[in-house]
Amino acid sequence: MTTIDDPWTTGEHPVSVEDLQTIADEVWATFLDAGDVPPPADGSADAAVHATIAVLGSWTGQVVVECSRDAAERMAQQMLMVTEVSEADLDDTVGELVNVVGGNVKSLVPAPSSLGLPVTVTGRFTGGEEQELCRVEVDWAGHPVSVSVWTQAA
Amino acid sequence: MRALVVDDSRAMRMMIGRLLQQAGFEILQAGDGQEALDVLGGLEPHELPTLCTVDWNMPVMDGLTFVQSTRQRPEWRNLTLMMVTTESEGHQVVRALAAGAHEYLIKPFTAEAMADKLDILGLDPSRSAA
Ligand SMILES: [Mg+2]
Repeated sequence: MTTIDDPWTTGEHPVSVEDLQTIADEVWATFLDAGDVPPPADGSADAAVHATIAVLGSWTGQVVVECSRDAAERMAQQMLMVTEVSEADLDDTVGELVNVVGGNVKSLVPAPSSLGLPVTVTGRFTGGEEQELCRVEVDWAGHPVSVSVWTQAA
Repeated sequence: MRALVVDDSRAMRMMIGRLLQQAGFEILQAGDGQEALDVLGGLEPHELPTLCTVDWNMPVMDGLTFVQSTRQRPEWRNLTLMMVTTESEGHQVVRALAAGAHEYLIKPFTAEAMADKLDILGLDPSRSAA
């Protein structure tokens, strides 16, 4: 067994907080306008939605986007240009956001690796057996959106 | 001019479709590569789109397989294929271009970046008129 290149023993993670923040900020700034979005109402953070996408290959892990249901609905309204948001709209929007973040994260990890398809789920992400590698927050019109990268613990 | 927007995300199809509409395209949509082949297969030669934007990661049939499939059909040789994908590594760009894609736009992209690609492909009427 060799541990020389293991990121958990060397402290060299393939995705830094700075990298992830740059990717996340770019995705939200490019696809979503924060201009006319009202700030979160009290208690709106209680209901959460998250979407995950797997990166599989030389490096295996997953990328997670998590936000309030309120924020997810407002993102879906913008991206789909609708006023009424269905569950399918919500899944599609948050799923595509994690897909775009995930593809850009994949470009930072050792090749070859491939991207799975996004999965959107109601509730908070608990992580299971995986360990959080890094996490950043995007402030979208006062709505906190967390973007994190998880991998198998060594 | 018509454009076929192929992406499994409806939000992304809307976003790309809106930009192409502004550039003067009439929009057709498909949610995966197989559906896109079916859409093309159902069209008469004079109804075929000028441009296909193609996502890479989709269920049923991915965008790379779709590109390879269209390149095997002589009747579709005039289709211009632009990958619009989050696959951003250089080796993936090379694979897509080798398979027959004409242009490659990485998500996230701005309206300006899409307009630049259309310009390069000679497909932006508003710019070529200027
Ligand atoms: Mg996709």
